[in-house]
Formats: sequence, C-alpha cells, structure tokens
Amino acid sequence: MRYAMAIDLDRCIGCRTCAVVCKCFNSQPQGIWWNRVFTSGTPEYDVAVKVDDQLRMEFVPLSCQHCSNAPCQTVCPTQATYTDADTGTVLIDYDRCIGCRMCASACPYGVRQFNWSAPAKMVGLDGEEQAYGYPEPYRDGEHLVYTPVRPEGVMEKCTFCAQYTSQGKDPACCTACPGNARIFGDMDDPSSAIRKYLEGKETYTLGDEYHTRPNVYYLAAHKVEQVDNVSQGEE
Amino acid sequence: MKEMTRRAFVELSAGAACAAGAAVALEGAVSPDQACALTPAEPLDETWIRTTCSPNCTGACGMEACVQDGKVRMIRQAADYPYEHYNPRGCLKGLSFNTMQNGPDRLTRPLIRNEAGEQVEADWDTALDAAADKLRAIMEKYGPDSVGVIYQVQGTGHIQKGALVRIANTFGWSVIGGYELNGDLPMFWPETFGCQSEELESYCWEDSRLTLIFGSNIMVTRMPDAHFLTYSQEAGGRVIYFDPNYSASAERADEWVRIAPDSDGAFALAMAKAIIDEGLFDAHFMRTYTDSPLLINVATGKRILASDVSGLEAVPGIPDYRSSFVAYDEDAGAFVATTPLELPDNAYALTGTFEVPLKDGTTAQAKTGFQLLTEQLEQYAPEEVAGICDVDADTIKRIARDAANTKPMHIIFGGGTQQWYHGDLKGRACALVACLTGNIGQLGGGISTYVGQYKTRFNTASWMVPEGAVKTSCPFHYWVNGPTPQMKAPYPKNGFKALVVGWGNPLEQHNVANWLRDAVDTGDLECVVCLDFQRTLTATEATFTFPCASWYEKTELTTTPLHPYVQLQQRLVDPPGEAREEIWIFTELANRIDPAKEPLWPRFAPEDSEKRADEVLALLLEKGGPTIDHLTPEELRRGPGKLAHANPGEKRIPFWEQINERIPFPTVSRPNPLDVTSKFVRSGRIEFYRDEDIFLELNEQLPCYKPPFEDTEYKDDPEAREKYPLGYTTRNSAFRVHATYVNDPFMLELQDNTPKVWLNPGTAAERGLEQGDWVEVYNSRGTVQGQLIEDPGVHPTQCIFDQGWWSAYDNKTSYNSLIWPWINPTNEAYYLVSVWSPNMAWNETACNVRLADGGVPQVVKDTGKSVLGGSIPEGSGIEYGKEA
Amino acid sequence: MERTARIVGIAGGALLVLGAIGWALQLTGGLLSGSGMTNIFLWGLMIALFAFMVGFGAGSQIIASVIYVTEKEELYPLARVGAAVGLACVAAAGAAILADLGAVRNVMWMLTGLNLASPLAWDMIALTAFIVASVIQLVMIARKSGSARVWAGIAGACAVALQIVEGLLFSLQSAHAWWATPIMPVDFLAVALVSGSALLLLIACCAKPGSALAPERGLRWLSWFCAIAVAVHLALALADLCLVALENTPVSGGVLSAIGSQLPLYLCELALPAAGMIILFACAKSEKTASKLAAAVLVIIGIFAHRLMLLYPAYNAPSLYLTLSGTDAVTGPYPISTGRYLDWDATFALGTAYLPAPVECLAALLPFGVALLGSVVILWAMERLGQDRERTAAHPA
Repeated sequence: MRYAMAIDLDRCIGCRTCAVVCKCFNSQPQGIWWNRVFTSGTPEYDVAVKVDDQLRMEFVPLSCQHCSNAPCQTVCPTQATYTDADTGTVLIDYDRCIGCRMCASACPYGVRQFNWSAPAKMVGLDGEEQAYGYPEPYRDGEHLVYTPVRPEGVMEKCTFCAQYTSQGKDPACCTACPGNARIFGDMDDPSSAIRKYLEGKETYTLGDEYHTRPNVYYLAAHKVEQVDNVSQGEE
Repeated sequence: MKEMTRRAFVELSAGAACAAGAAVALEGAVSPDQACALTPAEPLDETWIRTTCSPNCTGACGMEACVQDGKVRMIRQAADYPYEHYNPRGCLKGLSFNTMQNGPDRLTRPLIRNEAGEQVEADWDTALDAAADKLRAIMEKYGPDSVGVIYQVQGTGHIQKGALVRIANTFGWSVIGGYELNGDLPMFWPETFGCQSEELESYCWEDSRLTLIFGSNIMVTRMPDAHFLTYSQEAGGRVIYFDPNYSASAERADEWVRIAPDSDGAFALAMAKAIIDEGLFDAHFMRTYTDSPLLINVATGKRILASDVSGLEAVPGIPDYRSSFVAYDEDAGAFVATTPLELPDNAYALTGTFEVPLKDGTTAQAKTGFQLLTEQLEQYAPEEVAGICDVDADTIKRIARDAANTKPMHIIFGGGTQQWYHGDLKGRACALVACLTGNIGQLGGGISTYVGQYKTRFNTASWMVPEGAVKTSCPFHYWVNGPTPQMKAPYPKNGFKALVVGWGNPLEQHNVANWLRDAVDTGDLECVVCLDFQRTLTATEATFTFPCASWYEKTELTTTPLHPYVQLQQRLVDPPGEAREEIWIFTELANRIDPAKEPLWPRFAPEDSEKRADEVLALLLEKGGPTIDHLTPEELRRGPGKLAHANPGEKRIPFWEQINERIPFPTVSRPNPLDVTSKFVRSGRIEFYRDEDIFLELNEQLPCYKPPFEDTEYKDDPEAREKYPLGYTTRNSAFRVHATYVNDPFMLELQDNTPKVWLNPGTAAERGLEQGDWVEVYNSRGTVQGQLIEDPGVHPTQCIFDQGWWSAYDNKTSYNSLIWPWINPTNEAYYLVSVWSPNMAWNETACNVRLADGGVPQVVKDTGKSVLGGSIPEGSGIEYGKEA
Repeated sequence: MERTARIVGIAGGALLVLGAIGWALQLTGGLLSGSGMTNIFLWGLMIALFAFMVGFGAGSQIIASVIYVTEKEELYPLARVGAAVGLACVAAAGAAILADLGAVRNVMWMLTGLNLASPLAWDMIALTAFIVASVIQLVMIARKSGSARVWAGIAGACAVALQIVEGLLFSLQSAHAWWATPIMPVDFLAVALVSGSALLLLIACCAKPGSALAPERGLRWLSWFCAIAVAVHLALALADLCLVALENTPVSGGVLSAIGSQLPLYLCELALPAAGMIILFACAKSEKTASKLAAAVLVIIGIFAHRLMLLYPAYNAPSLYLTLSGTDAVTGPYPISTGRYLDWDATFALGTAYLPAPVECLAALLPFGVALLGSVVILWAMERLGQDRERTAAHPA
C-alpha cells in the first residue's frame, strides 16, 4: 500500500478551501499552515505573474509531498520523522522531536511548520478559548502524530490526515475540495480512486531536481489563449 | 544542465552517506512500529448534523457540523445532493464559520442607548419595550412609511428573515429593496425580457459548449459552482472570459480577452453586427420570440399599435398590460396585428421600410425593429469597436462566429460589467447576442446574471404578507439624492426617520456609508434598530441592537438561484448568551408596538421559537405553490428537497415554456403577480426596442454603447477627468461574503490582517508608489486606505480594493465612501421594487491614489489577532469594535 | 598568567550567567519570544555561533596536533593552550546547539533513538569522539606522558573529522544551493585552520613578548600558517561564488540576490580576512606583534561574518521554483508560511529578513561564556593535574 494524492491543476480554482479545512480539522495553531495555495512567484493572493510575456495566475496547492526519499526523515537525528512502512505516509512523533529544525531546513518544499513558542490559543467569546479541529490525540502505535494541543517547540506538517486515513477516510483537503481537484488513494491498488483518476493521464511531480520521489502527483492545467493589447503595449 | 550544478556532488554524497548510515544503523534504533500500518484512530464520540450555510453569497451549501460540548468544532460539506456533481458544495469561508461563531465579536446581549447616548446592555424586556415605544412614536409623528427596512434578501432565509418582511408589511414600513441598493438588479432583464432576471442553475453550465463571461469572477464569487465550468471544458466546451483585469477566472478560461473597462456593450454590439452581416443569426428565433418584426413609426419613434392602423384591429381579449402591434406578413403580403397572447410561427418581415396607412388618414413611414437595429449596428463595425474595446476586429469576428456556430452558447453577465451607470445597455447588447444565436430556452444556453441573492422560488405571501398588509417601498437612491421629478417610486412624505436593519451593516456596506453615518450622528435618522449576530459598526452605532441566532442555531428555510434544492438550517447548538431567534424578536416587537396585532403575531415563549418556526415552515411548504408544495418538513430535515420545474428533464431550463409552449414573455417575477411585470414587455415578446419617452429622449431605444463617467463623474465635475483618472473597482474577495467573515481568524491570516489596494505597476510608478506602501484611494467624496499591491494583471486605468473590510480594520476609512448612487432616468420609467428601479452602479466611480500619511497604522497591524493571552497588547487587537 | 586567567575566567563566568538568563527567557517564553527566526530562516545566530565555535575548537586542536606531531617543541606551551581552548570551544559549540533546540525535553531520544543516517547524528558522534580524544590528550599532556604526542594526533584526526562532518551537515542539504557544494566540507576544514591559527596567534600576541607562549620562531610559523590558511579559504570561497554565478538557474539567481541583499556583511567576510592575510604575509618575518594581533582580530571578525553568511544566502534564497505546468517557463519561487503571523502580519513570504532579537543576542553569550570559562578551567585542571603528577613523582607513596 502506498498512499498518494493527485492534484489536478486544471480543476484548481485557487479557492484555498483545502488549506482552510486542513488548518481547522488538524487544529493548526495560528500562523501555521500545512497546506497552502499560491501562484508561484508572489506571496500575495489574487496577483498575476508575468511568464514569458503572458499574465498567469496558475494556482498550485502545496503541502507535504510524502516523499519516498524524504530528506526530512534522513536528517532527523531522533527518528521523530518516520515513514509509515505500510502506507508510505511521512509522520512526525511530537514526543520524539527535539526541535532542531534540521528537517525543515532539508525540505525543499517549505512545508514543515515549527511551533516557535507555545501555540497561541484562539480567543473566543468572553475571553474563553475557541477550540477547533479533531478533538482527540491520535497515536500511530506509540507515536504521537496528532494532538489538538501542540507541544511547544516541535515541528509539524501534513499527515495525510492520519487520524482519518487510519479510519479508512480520505484526508480533509480531498473530501472538501469544491472543484474535486484533489484525489487520494493507494497507488498500489489499480482499483483505487487515484489510480482510476490518473489512468491515461500524464502527471508530474514537484522539485524533481531534489530526487525526493514525491507521492503527490500533479496534473497540468490547460493553456490560456490571451488577447491582451495592454501588456503588449507595456513591453 | 541540471546535472552540471553543484548539487550533483551532494546528491551523490548524500546517497552514499544515507546508505552508509542505513548500513550501520543499530537494530534497536529502528522502531518496531515502522513495520506495521497506521493504527486505526478511535472513532470519536461526535455528532454531525446537517444544516445550510446561507449568508449573502447565495451559495446555500449543505453543511454538516461536528458538535462537542455545545460548540461547533469542525464543519464539512454534507455532500448529499442527489445530483452528484453538486458534491461537495461549500467553500473556505463556510467551512471555517466555527472560528467566528463564538468569536469576540459575537453579540450575546441586547444593547440600548442610555440617556447619555452610550450603548449599554439591557434585558430583553427593557430593550424590546424601548424599541417598540420609539418606533411607535416615529410612526405616529412621521407616518409608518418613515420607518425604512433593510433586510438581507429572503432567499437566504424565508422564516426568520421573512419575519422582518412580515412585520414591515404589518405596519406599512418602507422596504428599501436590497436588490437594487446593492447593484444586483440587472436592469436589462426587465427592459428586455420583462422579468426580474432568469438564469441557468449552475449544473447547466456543464452542458454549455461555449461560455462567454463578461466581468464575472466566477472562480472567486461562485466557488461552489465554479467546477461546472471545468466540467464543461472537460466535455470539450470552451470558456472565453472578458475582463480588463487578470483574475482566477481568466486563468481557468480557455481564452482571456483584456477588454477596455466598461466597453463590453460595444464588444457585444460588434459581435451582433458580425453575426448579422455574415448571415449567421437565427431568423426564426428573432421573428418568433422577439420584437424584431414589429413596425416602428420612424417619425415618432413609437411602435405602431394595430388599433391605429387602417383596416386592422388589436387582437381581441388582451388585458390592459398588453398591446397588439403591427408586423408585415410576407406570405399574406399585408400588415397584420400581432398577438401578445402567444408566440406563433409566422412569416413576418424582419427587415424593410413600409408605408403604413393609419386610421387618422395619414401614412406612417415605418421600419421593423430589426431594420432599425441593423441600421443602428452600422456604427459598431468590429473595425470601429476595436478602438473602444482595445480588441482587434479579427478577434471580435472570430468570437462572434464561434458564438453563432457553437451550441449551446451561454453568456454570463457579471456584476463587473453590470454595475455601471449604463450597465443596462451592455446587458441589452449581450442579450441580443444570446437571442441572435437562438440560445434562449436551451439547456446550457442563453444568458444569466448571478449578482446578489434574489430569486424568490416559491410563493411566500402566506407568511410574509399578513392579512391587511400595507406594502410600500422606496429605493435608497432617493433617500440620498432626494426625490426626482420623474420618479415613479413612492417616497415617505417626511423622509426616513428610522431604520430597521436585519443581518446587514449599512453603515459600512452601503454606498455613501459615511453619508448614512452622518445621518445617524446628526440625529436626522432618529432611530436605528439592528438585528445581527456579529458586532458590526451598525450594531455598535444602533439605537437598539438585538443579538440574533447564527445559521447554526435556528430553523430556517433557504433557496438559491444556483441550484434546485430547498434546504433547512437546523439548530445544531443553542445561540450563545441571550441571543435569540429573529422570529421571536419580531413577534415581541410587533406585539409591543401594537398589542392589537396579536392575531397576526401570536406570542410564544423564547424556548418555543423552534416550534413556531416549524409551524411557519409547514405553512410555507403547504402554500408555496407548485414548485415546492410536494416537499414536507420531514424530508427537508433529512436533506435537500428539489424544487419542481415545468420542462421535462433533470434540469430547469429558463424560458422553456416561452420557447416550446409559446407562452408569451415575461416569466413570473415572484413575489409579484405576472400582470404587474407584463407591461414591461407589452408585445409578449423579448423586446430590444423601447419606446418609452425617456428612452427616446436619451437615444437608448435600441442597445447602444455609451462611455463611462461622461454622464456621471465628468458631468458632475469636468475636472474629475484629470483629478480622478482611475476607475475604482470594489471587487468581491475570496475571503469574505461582502463583510461577512471579515473577522474570521483564518481569513484574516490569509490576508495578513491587511486591507490591500491593487494597481498596475506602471500606474503605481507614475505616482511614485511601490509595493507595500500604505496608500490612500480618494475622490471628492471619500477615501479608503490600504497596502499597495503591484499587479501586472490590473488594467493601467484601474484601481482595485476588495470590498468587505470593516473600517475598524482600515483606519476608520470606508471603501464605500467614494461611491455615489447615481440615478439613471431610464431606471425610473417604471417602478417595481427590485424589478424596475434605480440600481447601484458601484463601478461608476472615478478615483486617484496617493501615499497615505503615517504609514501602516497600528490598528491594521493589530486588528484581528485572535489570540488568547498572547503578546498582542490588550485592547488593540481582538478588542476592536468593542466599547473601551 | 594567574591574573589574566582570573580575568578571563570571571568574564567567561559573567557571559555564561547572562547567556543562561537569555536561554532561560527563551525556554520560558518559547524560542519565538526571543528570536528573529521564521519557518523560512530556520537557523539563526546560535547556529552561526555553533559553526563559528566548532571551527575554533577543531582548528586550535588541529594546530596543536600539528605542533605535537611535528615536535615543534618551542611551540608546546602554545599548543597546550590551543588544545585546551579547542576543547572549550567545542563544548561551547555543543552548548550552542543545545540552546537552539525547541524541545530540549526530548533530547534523550538522541541517545535512545539515534538515526545514524542523520548528519546531526554524525555530528553528535564526531563531537563526542573529539571530546573524549581531547580530554585523554589533555590529561596526557598535563601528565607530560610520552603518549601525549599519539593522543594529540588522534585528537587532531577527530578534529578534522568533526570539521568535515560539520561541513557535511550543511552541504548535504540539497534544498539550499548555497550549502549544497563539494567545496563546503573542504572549506570548513580551511576555516578551522584559519580560526585555530588566528586564535593561537591572538593568544601568542597577547602573551608577554618572549614568554613561553610567544616564542619568536613559533610566532613566525603561526603567522605563515594563518596567512596561507586564509588564502586557501578565500580561494575556496571565491571559487564557490564563481560556481554559483556560473550556475545560472533560478535557484542560483536567488542565492546571488540574497548575497546582494547582505553585501556589506559579505564584503566583511572577504575583505577582513584578506586584509589580515596581507598584514601577516607582510610582517610574518618581523616582530610587529601589534600588527599580527590586529591581523588576527581582523581574521576572527571576518570568520564571524563568514559564519553569519553561511545562513543568509541559504535561507533567503528560495529552494522551490515552479514552472507553469506543462511548460519549462519559470513562474517564480513558491511562498512559505513564516510561522510568525502573530508578530509580523506576514503569514506567507518568499524570504524573511533575519535580525537577531535582543533575547537571542543575550542567549548567544552562553557559548562565549562556556568557551572562556571552559578554557580557564581546563588549563587550571591541567595545571593541577601536572602538579599532582610532579608531587606524586617527588613523593612516591
């Protein structure tokens, strides 16, 4: 079994529903985003980027690529980051992480998020804490890989929603995508949703130059013909 | 070259090192867990309850919420629509509603003003009595119509929100139609089709083979529906997107046409000309369903009535609101009276000039409507229009041919195109293309407008119009501009003295919001009653503020124009504090204003609000008419119930009855009866020729192009041309539904807490501005601030601010302070609230941009930081909007 | 010497206390409360200091080992100090790493669950090996044992290994083009030689002229050694820069622009050691102690700048540039969540300007304290050990 995700850029509208539902369902403290959606080249939303004299706003959702050759796991000195042997999911044991940040430094995708201090509690009505997300800790065996209240000074990232996938459910970003652009499943199972979706389609992976062998597959978007006499004039 | 980089070494050595590391790894160091699969998580002790997310986006998305300890912890899409492609329906905002449901801005206690004018908390009895006394006094002194009512359109909630309509009708308060107030009313619809508007439900988009989108940023403003365009593309369809600015919708289209701002009408007219010139138009459609063959007296500009023509009589049995006109029957070789009662096949001449003998003995020179149209279109040759639209003639012709040759072809006519002073002219031009190509009444074809929440999809009078109702209304435009000589709308004789606002924030969200704030400050507006669940500026400035239930805390009935499902909001959790359901609040208010109204407003205890809402639900379903009366409350408690429609097949097709059963136009515009709107198209046909005097006077009898600002900003102040050279667009944000969700902590994070202003880099450079500068957008009426974003996708003549920011986040400046409610006199030819009425032209605003003094204000740095016991100083972050 | 040692010891102790206060503040308030780091700029001043200290530690030891192994007897007193300072500096580097951990409470997993594939594991092993070899060597030296020379050689080898491992710690991170170069481990070694020789030169120049710590010929040799080491290091650094400049990829462009945005610092890193090198070459043969002292100081400051510049072009050069899907056209670097939204209103960014925060600077005194106090204590202990030995020799039981 090898869990994988397909992201069809031809279906992605850049709405960030995946990022927000990921944040909520996984109780990510303020400032932490496991999943993000940007047009490469700008940290702003709703901004076009000029590529080869064309304006483009191609949205690329990006979260942990669950690499088969995960540099974060290689460099982790305490084996806090490990790959679940049966599913290929790359996980972090919060009880084992020493907070050296070597893994984040080694990750070319910038998906690892550090709890720089005790997680900020979101304020609610009458000064009470407003809690959100999956309410129980989840342990894979002895490994604490999810807890709604984050320990201070540890690294976190996408777990493919381990607390859900372990119950046979899809990760939250995949079930919530209003464009059905994210498909999850077992790459080793020819009848899985992802294998069926990818049948006959060409995929690519990100950051191939880093030889990480990601398990998140992207499908290219179509071209945009453009009639733009304004930008031509600006050149 | 990749192999030649310095990294090559490292890859090799890293590989070797890992291998070495693995080889020497100690057995004991490998965790035994690595050998087995993920341990299944313990199933949660959780409940997921279905409800409907239904703020003013019109999405009406079925949601399920996970409730623990009386609070919503997570929200997911219900994904239970029988039509699978609608699943999952819901966006980032609705899915994070829980983070603001019990946020610091939640209203939990009634608020009243004490004698010192300060807002203080009060118990319900005190607050309701005081509000009732005040409203009664104003009604007695100035008349009941001096109480204005603003409500979020009822489609988002027929029971609780409907209660406000019911109380307005009970007392004769003036309803201020939100549809026109918000610029949602596409005036070309009543002008052309005689109805408020029609549209394809979004699942019909996947059936289109060509979609032309004029200024509608579907990918941002219709997130849960956007994928139907993708599905259309996957099925081989094409999407062409017209917009001066690059956007997510441009990115997802097959082709983006960077059209000059406000020139869409000219483009459509040039398309029409090309389609006609190349003989690609559907003559049968134009002859049968439109006013093209009707004869127009060239001398008067009026359509010739059959009853005026020698030897002809009007067809018998036609009601007052219909007219029998004249056409030339080519088979019979004679003039004939046309019938407005049906739409038969005919042999009427489409073109030509005729001498028509009139009963008064004179002869009228007449031309067919189509003849006049083709003559009018002579000015709009693609070569001529190229200069207006900044799009070359060949492209216009190519797209015209595509539109004529690809069926079904669907035009989406968006707010970006519509919300201009001459928005109706553009709509009429686009409608012309839809008709010339014969796409009206076809599955996946035609023209649609998806601006605002409007459609009333079943009969609601049983609840909203009580016995002895006094219905009156007045557009907001007249309040600001004062009454005009030609206006047809009623105007309260003493003006507006009180405002009852439900689920709205007029002090922020209305045009000239600052003007309205002044009216409150000066006491000209003596009383504001606000019902809301969030502490908006209106809630903090109101005389009486009543805390309401959010849409996870009450029973409510919702519909939307975007899909065919009727859905309930259900009470998943209790409203916090003393917040209560609106139906109880209005029942109490009605009884306290006038105890004699109790028969219309039977009283009940607050805890019985659900029971009462259930009664109204049953009533609405029972009396709702053929579209809804097959549904039961029990069914709706379980999930979505589908509205019925007339045409065969899964999907409702607008105008199917007109095209196939030859029933005359218009379609019904609920809640108005058909006869009220039929006079807008007296011929019973789609009308491109309007012969009301004001249209003739302004030379707008046929669709034409008029440039922006000439009849508004520049007429008002000729110097505006130089002083305010930029067009001001307050587009909808992906992170808000208007102002709703402005305080959603997740949305704030995605926007760095910072209101932003978008300019083309060249436009910014001309002003010596650069990315990150704190700037001020201004014109003679107002200013708004924001952080500058340089975006090459923004047209050089445009300035964009994404609307919905509370002024608390923006140094107290309001983006609506720049906008003026211009009144286009053709919008005053008739008056029917929310159907034919002056409409808000948000985009008809000129502005300029400069550096704001003082840089990024602290208030912006701190606002929205929703952290408990964090490092943000007390009172500067989460405390915004609260009393100090 | 007693007085100097006391002053250095007190200064070290004071720095140690201040640094400990800084660290404690960070531990209680979270690393964030005292740091300018982000999810983009993951390692800051403390890691720069770690690399700085480990260079001095390994470098001093290597030079001490060279002196012992080649039996430059006139330099033995200086080598003895060098070996002691080396151990103290490596201990300081260890302290720096510990103080930089987010969850030091879990640090026992470094022993019970060590991942031998991790360069950080190699680092810990190399560090431990060095400390063990160094301590044995120091004991042997203190006891004037015959095997001191052998142990000095072993400790020197450990120092070389340690420094190569430090180099690999960075150069194996292919996500950062600035580090991912074969030059990095070699240059780490060169920097160690520069640092060690400059430090010993500094000590020798500060010592009383003609005293055992400042033999004339030895000083000359040390000057030559340091100047040549600087030349090698600069050649490597410039070669590295050329390779980056010639790479001509979006990633290398990002590195160059990150260097550009820290140009003054980068110029310091090149110009100061270069100036020191020129001075040393010019007056290596002369007895201008003040000039040599100035040269040593310039070199040391330059190396500190070099260690800071280890971080800036690495972290402020994005690693992931995407192309428009289905094409080769580069759209640009992909933004990262900073993790500092609550402080800066910048939820996502392509790079973040790093400026050490006050508490971070305070905590950074900790390794300096360990190095200074450690040196004094180690030398004192060696002294005691030597005296004991002599006493035992004088009065056999």
